[in-house]
Amino acid sequence: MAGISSDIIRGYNDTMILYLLLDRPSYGYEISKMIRMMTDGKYIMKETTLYSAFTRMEKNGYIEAFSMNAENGKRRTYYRITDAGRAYYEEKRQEWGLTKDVVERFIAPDGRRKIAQNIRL
Amino acid sequence: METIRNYLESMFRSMPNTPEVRRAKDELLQMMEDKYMELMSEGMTENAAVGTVISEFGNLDELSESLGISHFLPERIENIERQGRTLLIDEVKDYLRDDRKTCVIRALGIFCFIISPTGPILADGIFGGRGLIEGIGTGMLFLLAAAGVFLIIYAGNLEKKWKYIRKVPCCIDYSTAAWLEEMITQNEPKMSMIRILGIICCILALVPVVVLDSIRIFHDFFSAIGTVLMFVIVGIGVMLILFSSGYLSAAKKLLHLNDKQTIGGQYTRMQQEQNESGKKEGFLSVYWPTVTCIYLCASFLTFSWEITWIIWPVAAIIHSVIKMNRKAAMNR
Repeated sequence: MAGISSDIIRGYNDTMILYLLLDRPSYGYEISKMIRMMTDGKYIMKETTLYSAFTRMEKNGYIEAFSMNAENGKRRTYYRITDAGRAYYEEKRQEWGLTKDVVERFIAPDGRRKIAQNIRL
Repeated sequence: METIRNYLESMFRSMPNTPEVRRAKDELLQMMEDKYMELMSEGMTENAAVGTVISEFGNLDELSESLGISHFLPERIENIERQGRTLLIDEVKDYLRDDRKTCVIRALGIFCFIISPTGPILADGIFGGRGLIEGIGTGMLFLLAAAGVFLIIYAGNLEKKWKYIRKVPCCIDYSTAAWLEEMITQNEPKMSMIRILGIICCILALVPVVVLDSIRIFHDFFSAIGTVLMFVIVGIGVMLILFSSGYLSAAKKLLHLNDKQTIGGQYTRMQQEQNESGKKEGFLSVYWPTVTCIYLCASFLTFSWEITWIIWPVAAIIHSVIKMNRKAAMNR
């Protein structure tokens, strides 16, 4: 079985993280856990990937970091999405819609080629 | 959890020591710790949990860009070379053991010097110091002085074996640094107690002289015993002071091995203190041999052994003052 395409997914790591931050702020491990759960363990984001996404998006102004005490009393860094982040998420959402639409036209469900039908020469 | 911590620290060891890098390390540790805790609470064995956390850690090169250290990457290998070999924990323990031995032997040597005049004093005070007895007393003096010289030279030789730790680039890893710091914090109160005891000994040394000298009967006998006791107590005091200042010196030296510019230089709280300057280090390494030399010259030239012992407590105090000054200068 083929694995996940890291080239494609790399462009959407930020989108996934922003999605998880839309409702409420969160912290590193919680985000990585949610990604694993939502994909049924098909995609596990590495810690270094996650952290470099945080720093990159923080630099671009999409998220803000703040420190808060967690339930167990430990100090943790939380991230919250900014308006610029929401706008960026919306942009990526549309981009993906378009990308998926385009790519899917070339993916046949059973692997057979149906060029003639699609183009209707 | 310790394994994870070690893994992360060794990954970051040669990274430049900047706020961004330190923050990245802390954040990554936080995430790994959270994951580890959760895996453990799900009933995973410790080994499996550590394995999962480490395998899902990722690649540090991925971080370099976001940390603004991409230009450091080609240097990293060079950095590791410059930092030199990592000392193994067994090697570190051997070094500490030898250094303690050196410290004890040197203190014993100085003790021998200090009590060396007791031979003639006893011979003179108790037996009237004539003929053979006087010879034995003087013989004791030379014997003890010779033993002192031997012990100090022996201590110097023992130390030589480990000179490479300062000459050849070496470094220590995170777990060693943590172990050393723990050991220092545990022993430091004990060492200051010993130092205080030593100082008290030096101060109280005169008490037996004064007390025993006031006894009228067998005056010569008691006065000699009092003087002998003074030498012995001063000897013990100086020995304790030297022992307390030397016992942890190797551990502290090791903590300062790592390059201050990298994360490896910041493993523990004590490492964050500034490194000792090489010049004074050199000065201190010839300190005790010089004092020994002065003591022997002064004693043999003047033949007033009953006064020259004062060189030792004074030297010990000067030694402490120099060390304290250096610490104060480093903190600034």
